[in-house]
Amino acid sequence: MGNIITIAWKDLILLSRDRMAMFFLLAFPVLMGVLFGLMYQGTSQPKPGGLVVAVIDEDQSKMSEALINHLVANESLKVERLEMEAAQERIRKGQIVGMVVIPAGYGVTAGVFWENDPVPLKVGRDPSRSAEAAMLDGFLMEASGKLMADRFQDTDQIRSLLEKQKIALQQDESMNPLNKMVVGQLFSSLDGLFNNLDEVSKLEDKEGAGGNPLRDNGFQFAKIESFDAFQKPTNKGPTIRSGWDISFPQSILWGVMGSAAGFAISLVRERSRGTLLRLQTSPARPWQVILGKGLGCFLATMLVLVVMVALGLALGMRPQSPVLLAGSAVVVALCFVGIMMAMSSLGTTEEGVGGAGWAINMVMAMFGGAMMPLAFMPSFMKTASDFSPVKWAIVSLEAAIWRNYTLGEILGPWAILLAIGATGFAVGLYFFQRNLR
Amino acid sequence: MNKQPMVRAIDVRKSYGDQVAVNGLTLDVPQGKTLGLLGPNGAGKTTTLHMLIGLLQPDAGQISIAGSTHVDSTDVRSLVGIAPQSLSLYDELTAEENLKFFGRLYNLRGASLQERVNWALDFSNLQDRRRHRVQTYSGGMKRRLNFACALLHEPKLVLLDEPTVGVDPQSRNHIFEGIRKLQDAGLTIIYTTHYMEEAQRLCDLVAIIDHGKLLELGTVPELIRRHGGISVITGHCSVAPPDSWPGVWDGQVWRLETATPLETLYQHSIQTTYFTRLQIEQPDLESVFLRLTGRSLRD
Repeated sequence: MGNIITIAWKDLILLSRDRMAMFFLLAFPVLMGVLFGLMYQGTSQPKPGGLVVAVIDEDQSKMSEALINHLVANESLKVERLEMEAAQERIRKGQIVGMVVIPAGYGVTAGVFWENDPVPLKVGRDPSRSAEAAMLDGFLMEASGKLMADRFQDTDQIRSLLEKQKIALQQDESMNPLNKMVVGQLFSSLDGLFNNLDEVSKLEDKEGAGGNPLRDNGFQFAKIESFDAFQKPTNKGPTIRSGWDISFPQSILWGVMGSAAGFAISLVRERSRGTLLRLQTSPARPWQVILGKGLGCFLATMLVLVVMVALGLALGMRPQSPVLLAGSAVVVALCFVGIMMAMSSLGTTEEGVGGAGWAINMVMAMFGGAMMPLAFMPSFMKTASDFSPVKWAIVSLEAAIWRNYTLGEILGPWAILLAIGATGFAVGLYFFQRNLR
Repeated sequence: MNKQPMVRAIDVRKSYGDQVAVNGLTLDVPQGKTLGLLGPNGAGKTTTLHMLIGLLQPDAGQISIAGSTHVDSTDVRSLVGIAPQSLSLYDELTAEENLKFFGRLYNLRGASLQERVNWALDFSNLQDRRRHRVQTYSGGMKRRLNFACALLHEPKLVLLDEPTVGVDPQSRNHIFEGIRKLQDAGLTIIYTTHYMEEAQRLCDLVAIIDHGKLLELGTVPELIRRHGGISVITGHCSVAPPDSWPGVWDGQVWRLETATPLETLYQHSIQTTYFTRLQIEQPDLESVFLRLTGRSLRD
């Protein structure tokens, strides 16, 4: 044990005197953490004015104005009234997500639910921002639904539309007589509904409590309320308390990967500078040398984890379970120590191991969600991410920070990480001993 | 008195693919003696050293250190110190930190470790630079520290692989002084070099190796007597020497080959004042090597 600690301590001193290694170990993950944290700020609450869209109103009707007002009222949107050319220029420069063109005649059919050929809204999009454009489609559907509710709240207007539609129905000779009868009965029923509403309104006016029951009762076709999907019914308060909760697992992983890559080089550096020969000829056994390296890497990785968690706490990260977070930290560190051992056996030169180490890290990070959240990945990449230890490391850390995993639930990711680490350690030890012969 | 050799190699062979590095090496190094492994680059010296300390497994043959054939065992390793040809130091650490690190690997702790570190710093004459990082040292200082690291745990056998390569004359002399101290202390030393004068000056025994084969083993006088040839006396004179003198005169230089140059001069009453310049060339290890291998050591 003495030799293992001696080698580990020596490696930590060497690490502390290597400014570049220290940068990748501590400063780089802090930068990544702050960067991702700023990106994810507001994840737990609506982001005002997040989507900037242009509106071109060619209809200039009461209904087109109502639609625009509904869009303006949406906190997630920032609406700019522009001319077509100006809007196209803003999209080309990537300054806005897209534009909504309200064509002439839109107001005649907007919000009329029985209209089978309404005048369509036209949406121009930035092709590189399809996800945001899809969100815009959703917001437009929401606003259109509100227009329909507006129609029902104004009985005079809807009755006028109904009369026109009844005349059009009578004049339509192409329609099947049975269909014509069914639609005619629907219109009659609606007539009856609106007459009854008028009667109720008049009666209540006399009693001093007049109004339209549909409007006054807040008639809506659909109502959507958001809730925190991670919040269990018995819990109080949201589990994601700040963007840092989401960003720090990823940034911690950058530090962990930097530590692994740095230590992978240290083993081959022993060979290139000749000190490995002294280690080999000393009473220290090969497994003690390799374990010493592993212990040094583990301690450096734990240092990264502690520093990053402390920074996260200072910025507002609030882990759900400090105990599980400590457990995840140890498991993640052990996993990447094993990966370091395997990487260190990949080559015999510092350049070779250094290059291969970071290349492997990049691939693991890309597929594991350390560069881009898994949610934004295509399905095949999500499947491939199951093979990346970075994914399981992030899941383990997220599980303790905000995913609210139980001990039983977190054991799965931990087992995967420990299996990867053990495999890496075995591979590294095998090749290290083989290279000595 | 213990007659067991410190190092014994019996018909040791090692190849790398088709390349034979060591070919049937057999030798004994008695305790307390200094053996010089003399040979050109690629002769198999370093491979031999690495087999002696268990870093390489011989393809055939047997090696024993202090009677043990388990040369990579912890006990045997504690008996051996090595100063590799390439500097085996951590540049980012100070001399003291390097020494402490290597000392701990040999289970030195506490006061005994500090005592040995101080001894090693004195030995390498680096006391005043003990807390400076090695990367700030000159080549000679690094070489001295590299040497001291091999001695920290008080080994009985010291392997010095080209210990004076690339060092200034001052550091070279310091290393020679250090080796003398070790010899006086009764340590067994194996010293690889391709500098003849070092081997001649420091070694009790010299093994001449070429192409992995041991060509000759013996003391320096023995080797010279066996393979060095005879001495050559050359004298510059403007007048022809007397006919009673042996040798040949070409009109300017008188030349005589003899195994006993001083005795010959005396026997023939040859007056040295007769010559404007008189030179006696005695055979050395260079001429031994030349005769054994057919080429110069530095070819």
